[in-house]
Amino acid sequence: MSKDANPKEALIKAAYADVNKFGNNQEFDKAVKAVNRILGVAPDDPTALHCKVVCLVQLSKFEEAYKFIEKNRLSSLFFEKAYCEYQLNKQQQALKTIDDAGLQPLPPNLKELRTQVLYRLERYDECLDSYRDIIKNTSDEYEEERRTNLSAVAANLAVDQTKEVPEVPEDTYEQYFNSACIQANRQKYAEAERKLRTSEKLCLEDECASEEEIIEEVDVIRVQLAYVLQLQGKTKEASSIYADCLRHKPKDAALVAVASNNLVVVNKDQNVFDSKKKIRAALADACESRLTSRQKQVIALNNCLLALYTNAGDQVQQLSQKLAQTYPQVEFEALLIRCTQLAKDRKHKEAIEQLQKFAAAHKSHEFVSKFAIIQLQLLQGNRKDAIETLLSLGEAKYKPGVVSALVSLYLGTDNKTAASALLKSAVDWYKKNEVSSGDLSDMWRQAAEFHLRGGASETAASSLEELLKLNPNDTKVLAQLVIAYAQFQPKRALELSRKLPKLETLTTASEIDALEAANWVMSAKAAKKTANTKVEPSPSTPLEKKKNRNRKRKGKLPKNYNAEVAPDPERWLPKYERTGFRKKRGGARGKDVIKGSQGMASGAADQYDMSSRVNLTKNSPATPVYQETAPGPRQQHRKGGHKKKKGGRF
Amino acid sequence: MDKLNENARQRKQIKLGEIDTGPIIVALLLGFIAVAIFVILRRRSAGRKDFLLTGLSESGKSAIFMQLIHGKFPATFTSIKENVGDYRTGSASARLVDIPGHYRVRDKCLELYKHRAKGIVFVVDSVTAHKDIRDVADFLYTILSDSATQPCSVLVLCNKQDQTTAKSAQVIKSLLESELHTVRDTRSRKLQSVGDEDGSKSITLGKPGRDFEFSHIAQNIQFAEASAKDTELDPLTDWLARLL
Repeated sequence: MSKDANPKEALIKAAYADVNKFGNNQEFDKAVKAVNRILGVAPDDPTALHCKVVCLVQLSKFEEAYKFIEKNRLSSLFFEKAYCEYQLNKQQQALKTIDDAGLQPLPPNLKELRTQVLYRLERYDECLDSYRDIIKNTSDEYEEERRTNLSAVAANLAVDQTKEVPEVPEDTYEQYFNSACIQANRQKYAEAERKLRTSEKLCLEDECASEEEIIEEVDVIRVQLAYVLQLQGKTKEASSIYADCLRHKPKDAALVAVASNNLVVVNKDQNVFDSKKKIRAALADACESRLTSRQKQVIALNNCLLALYTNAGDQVQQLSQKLAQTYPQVEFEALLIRCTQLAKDRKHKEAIEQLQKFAAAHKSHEFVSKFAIIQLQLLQGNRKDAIETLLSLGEAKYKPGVVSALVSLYLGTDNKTAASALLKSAVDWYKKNEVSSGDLSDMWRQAAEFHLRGGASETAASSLEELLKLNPNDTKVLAQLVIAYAQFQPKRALELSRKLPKLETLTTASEIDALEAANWVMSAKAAKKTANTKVEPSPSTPLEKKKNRNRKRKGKLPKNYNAEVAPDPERWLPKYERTGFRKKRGGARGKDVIKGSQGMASGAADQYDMSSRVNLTKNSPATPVYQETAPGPRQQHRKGGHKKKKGGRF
Repeated sequence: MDKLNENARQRKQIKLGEIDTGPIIVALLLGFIAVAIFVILRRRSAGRKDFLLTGLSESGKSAIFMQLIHGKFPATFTSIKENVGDYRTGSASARLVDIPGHYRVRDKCLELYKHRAKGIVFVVDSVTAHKDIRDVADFLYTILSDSATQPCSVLVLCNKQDQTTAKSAQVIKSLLESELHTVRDTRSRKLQSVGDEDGSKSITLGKPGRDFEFSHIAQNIQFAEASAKDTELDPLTDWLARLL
């Protein structure tokens, strides 16, 4: 028996040695085979079982590792099980596994994994607290990655305007990127743009990454930059950046989805076929797990809008129904899209009925729904119903905009009496409620003009009185008021007319003086003309001088002077400056010899000068292994990588 | 004539005896008083009553100084000269010295005040400690290994705890211990300087051959967390009150 046991033990030892060797060399597939040999001999060896799980995880075979754990009931491997669930995108299960482990306080690896799971579940408050705790109490080589992840969480928190965002570090280009996302989520787009350009510059200067990696990283930053430009109204620039990034065919599915979605937004109702292809790319399954719920919601909404633009009626109905079920918070938008399609199909009545049902069910959207109903009724040409709907708004019907719309509709139906009555009731209502706000002066003015034209002087006088209260010094309003009162109450008109400026002030002494001054100005112009005339003779004086010079006797010419031959043009130059002058050989040779400084060549000096900046340049920090970034309200890049498992050694 | 001579002699003797006593006593008293004054002054100057704020640049020493002395938090710049102020707590008071952290001026300032220091507060920037841990450990080792500072109590104050990415005191302590182990090994191989004064000899810290731990040191070293920005300096004020 002892002899039989010895070969097994020897075999196990040899296999363990192989496992250790392959593990150190990162050859995990060979390590799996070695572990399988151990398990063939000793099926219940816990160390071997653990080694196999770790090898499978290192090979990214999470499904296989998960099944192996379940089959062998390895209940003590909490971390490995939770990590597999995390990688298989079963976040809720992963969180349950971690919490059911019953380890308090959690070991560092489980705590960090729990934080990552919370991030994927979009519970950012808990995630932020957890990261703060981890950063405060640990210190190792993954420090920069944790800080970057912290800023990513802060960027996601910034979407909610009411929450306060903590200060985040800005040391690496990833952190600059995340900080820019925070600014974009806070709608400070100019600052976000500046940070993104800084981030792009830092990324291009990264010396630890290869060319392809740099291109991928820069594409992420440029898509976010294009988003920020798009929200600032620079659509063409944004569109060209999106197209440029998509041409690189990035591997990040989420980045493709975001850029495609934003291009669809830029296109709007143009280039519908191109938009169809883009939205299909955005809806691909590959990026399902990478996008946040807000991003998916926006893409689905854009899909509905695109279907609306392509006049696909049935598809609009299907997609909007599905949208309303999947994302209840955009139910109203889905309903609006559906009603717009019904309006296109000339089914206004059905659309109005649906909106009325929705308004009855959701009081918060009642006001907005009624305006949508009014728009549909007007499209239908049903002014009467539109007027009734506007009147059913309660006290809101006295808002200036609503009053204006009602008056226009009444006049459109040739119902001046009703328009007049409405304006009168609005004036009375405001008088009762004593609402003193500046923006009502426009309404008062319009009401007064309307009634004056219509001949209702009393009502016009009421409106003008209100206007006068707002602007006591407005002479025009006072004059109009006098005219209105003159129709039905001459005494009051006479009283008010005393406030008007008197005619005598129109002809004061100062004005007479001003008139005389005007005459004086004209006299000045006449004086200027006289001055101009006097100046004219002066140019003739130089001409006389010239004539005098011409009368001089001709200068004496040389005897051999030949008028046909032109004199030498260089006759006044020094000899050494004339053409054809030869330099002395000795001088030239000496100058050439003396040229240049003494000593070694400057090129060599630069090469061996160790204090120059090129040699002193430090390597930038390595790219973080794991990083999450957060986009703005529109869909944007979300960059993610696989996080290597810690404690992989065995 | 002999009688007259004898009388004169006797008189002289008597006079000398009477005159000599007074001046001698006065001179002795004056000398004694002078010596006493000298001794008293020397003892007074030799006493340890100061508290030093030390640490690297940008770690928050001047901000802490302003909070303790004046109760304000102004914008500060890198110091090039020490700040001295009186710190009062109840009936006791002490002199608080804010020593610049720049490596070109800190040694000179430290030399001026280390002989009169009762306690040393070593301020660490919790946010950048993990990156600057080498410089922090080097300066801390310089302070702890100085023979003039052996009687001092030391408080390592982890400042800037209001920041999101600040480290806790426990983490900084473990970082410092591992780094001081390295610094000790490096320093022990340094050449001896020529003509070194006895008063400035450095001492090997901890127990050779074993990992460095703060509990191995003769001095009393404590760790605390604080934030000058949020006026959370209670651990520091408690420590000062205990020593005063």
